[in-house]
This record gives sequence, structure tokens and C-alpha cells, in this order.
Amino acid sequence: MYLRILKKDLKRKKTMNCILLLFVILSAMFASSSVNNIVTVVNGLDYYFEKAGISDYAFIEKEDDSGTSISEILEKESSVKEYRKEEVIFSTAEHFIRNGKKLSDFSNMAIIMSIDEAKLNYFNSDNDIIKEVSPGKVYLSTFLSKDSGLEIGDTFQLVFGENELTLEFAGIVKDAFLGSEMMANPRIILSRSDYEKIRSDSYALNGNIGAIYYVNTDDIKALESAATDGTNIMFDGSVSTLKTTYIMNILTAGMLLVVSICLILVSFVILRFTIGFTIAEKFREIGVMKAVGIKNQSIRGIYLVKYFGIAVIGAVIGYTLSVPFGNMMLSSVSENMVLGNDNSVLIGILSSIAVVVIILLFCWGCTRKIKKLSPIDAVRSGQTGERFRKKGFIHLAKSKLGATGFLSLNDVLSSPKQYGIITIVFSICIMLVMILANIANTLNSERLLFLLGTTESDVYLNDSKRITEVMGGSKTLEEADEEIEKILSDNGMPGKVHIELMIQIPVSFEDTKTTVMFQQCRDTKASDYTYSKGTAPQYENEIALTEPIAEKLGADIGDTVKLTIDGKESEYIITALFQSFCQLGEAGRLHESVYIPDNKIAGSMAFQIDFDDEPDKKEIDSRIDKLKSIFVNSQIFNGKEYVNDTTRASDIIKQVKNLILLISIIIIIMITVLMERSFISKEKSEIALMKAIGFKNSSIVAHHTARFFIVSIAASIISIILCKPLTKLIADPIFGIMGAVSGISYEINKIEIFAVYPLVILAATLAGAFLTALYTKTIKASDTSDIE
Amino acid sequence: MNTILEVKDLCKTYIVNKRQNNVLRNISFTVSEGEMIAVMGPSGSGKSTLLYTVSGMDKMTAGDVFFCGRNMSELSENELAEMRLDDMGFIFQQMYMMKNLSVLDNIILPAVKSDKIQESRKSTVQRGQDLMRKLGIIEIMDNDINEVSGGQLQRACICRSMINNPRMMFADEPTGALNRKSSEEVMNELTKLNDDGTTIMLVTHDAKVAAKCTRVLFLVDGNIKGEYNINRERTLLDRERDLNNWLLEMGW
Repeated sequence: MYLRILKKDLKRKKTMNCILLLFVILSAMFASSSVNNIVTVVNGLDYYFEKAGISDYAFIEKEDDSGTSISEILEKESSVKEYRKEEVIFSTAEHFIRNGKKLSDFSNMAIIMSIDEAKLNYFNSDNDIIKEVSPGKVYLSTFLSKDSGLEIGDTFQLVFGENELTLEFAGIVKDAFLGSEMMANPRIILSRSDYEKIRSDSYALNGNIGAIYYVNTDDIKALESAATDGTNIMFDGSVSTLKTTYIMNILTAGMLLVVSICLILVSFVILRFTIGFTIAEKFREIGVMKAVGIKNQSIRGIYLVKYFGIAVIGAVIGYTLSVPFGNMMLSSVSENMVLGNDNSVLIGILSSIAVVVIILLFCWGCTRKIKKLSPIDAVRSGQTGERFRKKGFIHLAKSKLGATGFLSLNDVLSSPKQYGIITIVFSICIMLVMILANIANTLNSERLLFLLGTTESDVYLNDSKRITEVMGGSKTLEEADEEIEKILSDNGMPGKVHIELMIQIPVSFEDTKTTVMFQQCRDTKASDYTYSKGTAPQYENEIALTEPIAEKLGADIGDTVKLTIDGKESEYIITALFQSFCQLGEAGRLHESVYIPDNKIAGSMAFQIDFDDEPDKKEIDSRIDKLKSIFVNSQIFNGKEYVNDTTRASDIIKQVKNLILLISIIIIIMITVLMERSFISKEKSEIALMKAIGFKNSSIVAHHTARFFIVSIAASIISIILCKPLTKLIADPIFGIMGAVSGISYEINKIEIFAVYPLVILAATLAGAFLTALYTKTIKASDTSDIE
Repeated sequence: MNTILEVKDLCKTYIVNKRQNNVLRNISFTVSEGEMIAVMGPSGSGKSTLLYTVSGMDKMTAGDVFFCGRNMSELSENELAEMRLDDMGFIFQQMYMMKNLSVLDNIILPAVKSDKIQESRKSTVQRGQDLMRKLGIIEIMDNDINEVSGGQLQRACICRSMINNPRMMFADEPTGALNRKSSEEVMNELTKLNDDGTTIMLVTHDAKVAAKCTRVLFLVDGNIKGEYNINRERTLLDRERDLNNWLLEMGW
């Protein structure tokens, strides 16, 4: 008999059962993909580094016969367990030509190597290891292929002196060592024969040959100390330092983690609501069963069997859909990483089983009411499903609203639980998008300039050629500055030019030795910069260090460290700690009066231009356009663009933000459609009654749509109110990892936050509600008599 | 007296499981203003279908229905809705009401929705309260609909159907779900409304209810098998006895 009751129920309540099934599918899909994504993100870098074969420590060395080479150090150093060496050629943007122009305007050093030399695993876009490169083909790092706009099959020329190779772009390479947005050193992988061709012109390659060492060691500190003797090291870093270079990917993956947790919350809130909602509808039926003497246990059994069946079918379909859905979510953060986990199938299945168990627990909880109800209660109260308390806080008699508006508002207020849950779900979706938008906008604003160790200027001019000339001794820094100032003056926009210099200086404190990249600007004061602790260096013998460097040295504010500048060792007092986005957060600042010869400059930030006449933003933008036509081989930015170009984070976050906006819209539309459809099913009698007493179809559609309008307005208001504090709560720790320990003030784009997103969500909700509410047209006034 | 409802060759067919079910077959009759007409017949004879079809709540398969001279088959959905809102009143066997509204709000809802009566919300509320007072349920006006008895609720439904001063009222077994006492109270109210000039068409199984009407249509298998005029000047008991005799002749 129970089976017959069950069979009838499934047939009769087709719509509600289908809606429930859809929600179970949605929940299982979210749960499986999200749990998998969480595991993937948490283990993300370890998984990637393990797959790539990254070692404990890495060095990049320029080949030079003079001084001590890394090979010599590694051979002698007892802490070294083993090391691998990749021979590479260093190159710049000038070596890559397409259609007579530079392929891309990248400023970092590019690394050319042969696939046969590979000592790491390099992955293609399908996350397969690249084992072979055919002659004439080339693999390029993601950002280089993106910046250059190359499509697979496109060709360009690699030119070194007399040697010119025409190469066909075969695909992207995911490079665990240099592929992060922060390192952003393009990797170019060629076939052995093509590499040899380039290598053959030793004259053209003079000074451009080098090697990358991947070292496994027992004692990183000892290795670091030993490496200070190396004279040709261009870069060295431990695996933990390398991990920090993926901060942007971790940041976006962290966002994904928040999204995943939210999706799981959303799915279970919906599930709990839907199960409660469908069971509440059955109180009359339950009452009848009780009245004819069926025991509580048996009644519960019927519903448990039914929900178990639906849960199993839903979980299987949901799990199947979770695979492409999870991949879609991960795709935005795994563009230059290999993300995944070895247990994804097991985790997915376990998550789906958890969904089934949770559904049964919900069902068990919801049917607990059956026990408490007498048959009469159930039959009486069951007529409308869920009437157990007084409703209606507002009265039509006292209201100034029209019938449709009043009914909508009254419905929402009369069922606070029902609409409250929808409001919470909508709010979560809107807030997620808003928070990500705030993070993306902040990363794309001048607010982060202090993290780059620069002061605010009108224009930033990235001119690697000019600074190389200074470093090479063909002109002095003052001459370079004056040259630019003259060009500015000749073009009617006089201004002052200065530049942040990078100087590599060995530092020792007690027994610890390391090499630190110091920043110094000859035309600004050390006190013009932001420090997180202490006071700015006031005198020549005072310095500031970033917290990671201070930690590495075991030093703190007030300690005296030894710096070797231009061969001369002197003592310096640490007066402040600061946060920096440069040099992977490991940097220092010298007082402006410390003399550094031009030939000791290891690098620089952009030339900064401050116009004499203090023009407004509009004028600066127009001058930037003019400067672009003057300095054709340089990159010219305003503060916002400069931050974005340096951090390269904004684009990834924007991608994630757009993905989440899309997911949010889809979730909101699905919830709206399913909820509205279930409301129509539940309110069939009321809709028929309204039609019978003369409500037009349009009024009923408006009534149903307006309820979701109210809900999305409420969700938008809640989101707008909570947006700022929640952004701070969620983003502060994220920016903290990046160095902004004391937090930053966020860039909130008022139009985006207060208008665009709420309107987009509102439009999606209204579209979903309106289209679904059209279904009410199929209910006839005469259906009033057919209500069960 | 003017004809308010004219039904000509009305047919209604349902297709159930690919089988045609002719519920109403070429039915014709007229209702004059001020009449109180009862539709009787065995279960499944098409009484409710007739009521819903002539009131524009359901579509007819063939034939014509003229309400106040307007051919309903030529009216759009919206025009039919307007007609139901402004010129018709409905009472159902089950006391259907909007569950989130109080009793008074349910009653005044059609008036608030209607454009026919231009009045302030205060006046609408006043009229609603007057109707409730008239039907003796004023004390339940702020109650939730699950807080009142079936009889009170049905009287509230009558108030709702009256709020827009309809020209004709349709009732589908209005006492079907009520006990004897409540049935009598409801029928007395309907009779009073009819005495005040409202045309009423109701479906009933109860000869006692039908005896309070002016005319009875007896339906069998979708056809009008007979029509019986009731002399209201006779006592209710006599009317009931005569009607029962006639119904017996009809095979009731």
C-alpha cells in the first residue's frame, strides 16, 4: 500500500517533485564541485610545484668567467643534496619581432631554452607535460602569448645578431618557476636544433648566456649564506619565496574558496527550505493517513523513501554536472597554473553522498512535526499547508497601496522565513560580486602605490633602454633625468623627473648573511614613504627593511646591521619596517644621501614625472596621450595603470569577478524560477480565486513578479550596507598576505556597487520571475473548484 | 423584467485521456433581472460546469452566452475579468480566501482592485464593514481566516461577492460545506440579497435551499431535463414539498 501511495504522490505532485529534484541536482553539483575546488585550492601550489618538480631553492646565474660561480658554491656546500642545471639564453623584448615590430613590450628578462635542457616539468594548456618541441615551433608563457595576441599557428621572428629564426606558436607553457604574474619572466621553449642555431652566434649572445639551478638542500639558511659569495647571481629564492610569487593566483583562488563555501551554504539553505516547504504542503495528506490509523513511523517512512529516491537521482546527476562546472570555476585561476587533486572523483562522490545524507536528515527533521500533530490538526491546518500562526502585519484597509502592490508586500511580510531565505541567498550572491569588485578596483587604483615603494606622481614612464644606458655607464642618471625633462619642456609640459633605483646589497646581522634589494630615490626623502612600524630613516646610517627581510635576518627596529656598498662595509641602524610588493616582499630602503655609483644600480622602477603646473586629471590624461607619441618605445602610465601593470592582478580578479557575476546571475535566475514555479504550484487555489473575482492575468503576473522585486531590493540594500565592512573583513587578510598588514582603504566604485550590480541582479530576478509567472496564465478561474 | 443572462445552444466538451466528454449539450435558457435560479441535478450532470461557463470563468465549446447584452464568447480574457470584477459576484462551496489577508481585507480586495467605484480607501472600508455588520460578522473583521467558523467564513465570502454591487451573483453549492444552522443563515442572507434586487444563480443538491429560489433548472447528462417555477407566496414548507414531488417526477 505504501508503494502505491508513493507512486500516486510522484505522479500527482509531478511539478513539485521535479522542482525538488532540480534543487537536489543544484546542491549536489555545488557541493561536489565546491568541495573539490576547496581541496584543490588549499593544496594548489603544493600540487603544482610537486607536479612541476620544483626544488627547495633556485638560482638564476649569468655566465661570467670572473668571480665565483654557483656551480662552484654548490659543489662545495655540504647542505646541498642534489642540483639540476638548465642552460638558458637571456633575451629582451627587442629580440622578438613580428611584422617588423616588437612582438610584445614586456620589460622583464625572457628566458629561452631547449626542451631537451628542461629540468622542470613544463605543462601545456591541457596540463600535459611538454616533452617534445618540433623544429620551427615554440611554446610561450601565458602572459607573453596573451600580451602579444598570438594565436596558435601564428609566426614571429626570434632575432639574435645575424641569426633569425621564424617560429610558429605551438601553445602556452605553464612554468612553475617563472610563470607567476609577479615573476612574469617569459619562458620560450624551443627544439634543440633551433636553440643551437641561436646559441651558435656567441658574439651576439655575449652576456646573454646563463643557467638556472634547481637545488635540493637540507639547510636553506646555510645555502643562502654560502650563495652570498656568488658574484653572478641574478635571482635566488627558496620554494617559500617562489610560493609568494603566486600570491595573486592564491588570492583569486582564495576568492574561489569563499565562493565555494557560499555556494555550499546557498545550496543547503535552499534544500532545507524546499524540503520543509514540500512537506508542509502535505500536512493534510499526513492528517488523513493519521486519521485512518497509519503510524507516525510509517508515514515518516513514506516520505523518507521518496526523498531518498529523489536525493539519489539528483546526487548522481549533480555529481556528473559538477565536473564541468568545477572546471569552469577553476579555469579562471588555473590559466598559468596546474590545479587539481588526485582524489577528485572520490571527493565528488563523497560530497554527493553527503548531500543525500543531509537531505535525509533534513527530511527526518521536517517530518518530526508529524509526531506532534493530531489527525485533526493536520487535516485542518493542512488545508492551506502551513497555517500555524497569525499572519499579516499590514492591512489593506489601512494601506495606501494598490491591490497588486499590497498583496505582494503582504505576501513577503507574511512569510518572513520563506522570503527571508531567498533574500539571504540573493544577498550572498550580490555581496560576493561587490566584494570582488572592490578588491579588483583597489588593485587597479593608486591606493596600492605605496606597496610598490614609489611616491605618487603624475606620470610613470617605463624606459628600460634609458636606464640600461645609465647602468652601462654610457650616461649618468642625472643626464637621463635631464634628457626627459628637456623633452617635456620642449613639448610645453615642463616637469621634474625622478626614479626609484634598485641596488643589490649584501647584508649581515650577527651570523646571518643575505643579499637584499634596496630601493633609493635621489630626489625624494625616505620620509616620503609609508612605513608600517618605526620612523622613516632620518640620517645616512639609517635604513628601513621589509618585515620578511627583518625576519630572515633575525633583526628588528633598533638593531644594527652591516651593509656592503661598493665594496665598503658599514653599519646601519634599522629604524623602520615597511610593506612592499617589490622583490617578493623582500626589500629595503636606503636614506637618500647614501651614495650609490650608477654602475651599482641593479634595476629601477619607472621614471616618475611631476608636472610643474600641477595639471588636473583630465589634462594629465591628455598629456599621457601626447607623451605616448613622443616616447614611442616606452610604456607610459598614470598611477592607476602603473599599479595594474606592476601587480598584474586586476585582470585575473576581474576575470574571476565576471565569472562569479555570471554564476550569481545563473543561481539567482534558477532560484527565482524554481521558487516562483513552486509558489505557483502551491498557490494555485489563490491564483484561481483571484481570477474568479476579476483579477486580470497581467495583475497576477505583476503580483508574483513584484514579490521578487521586493526581495531583490531588500537583498540589494542589505548588500550595499554590508558591502564595506565585509570587504574589509574578507580582503584585509588577503591584502595582509601581500604586505598591507595594517590594511588599506578600499576603492569603492559607487556606480558599480550602488547601481550596476544591484540593477543587474534586479534585472535577472525580474526576468526570471516574470517569465515564470506567465505560467499563471494557464490556471483558469474555474480551477477554484478543482483544488484538492 | 429585463433579461440579464441569455444562454443559447451552450455546449461544453472535455477531452480526457483522448476521450471526448460532452458535459453540456445544447443548453438554452434565460435569466431575468431579480430572479433567483437554482440549478439541480445528479452528480456529474454538469451543474458546476454550467455555472462556471455562463459566468465566463470557463470557456464554452460552442453556443452563445449573453450577459447584460454582451456576447461573452466575443470578449477577451481581460474583458471577462473586468466583467467578473465589476458585474458578477461568486460564492464557492469551499470558502476560498486569500490566506495572508484578514477577513475584512479579503472582503474589500475586489473593491480596491476595481476601477468602477471611485472612492477613498476609507469609504471602501466603511462599505465592507457595513456589509459585515449586515451579515452579522462585524466582530471577525480583523481576524485571520483560520480563526473563524465555516459559517462566518461563507458569510464573509458573500460580503466579498457583494462589495462591488454586482448585477448577478453565482454560487456553487454555497451551503455544501456548512451545517444546517449555518446553511440556513447563509440562505437567508442570499434570499435577502435577492429581495433587494440582486439576481442569483446557484447550484445545489439541497431541495430546502432550492425552495428559496424562484426557479429551478434540472440538469441530467448535460441537458436541461425540466424547469420548475416556484411560487414564493406559498410557505417554505409547501414550496419544499412541491419541489420534492417535482424532483421525484424528474427521477431525482
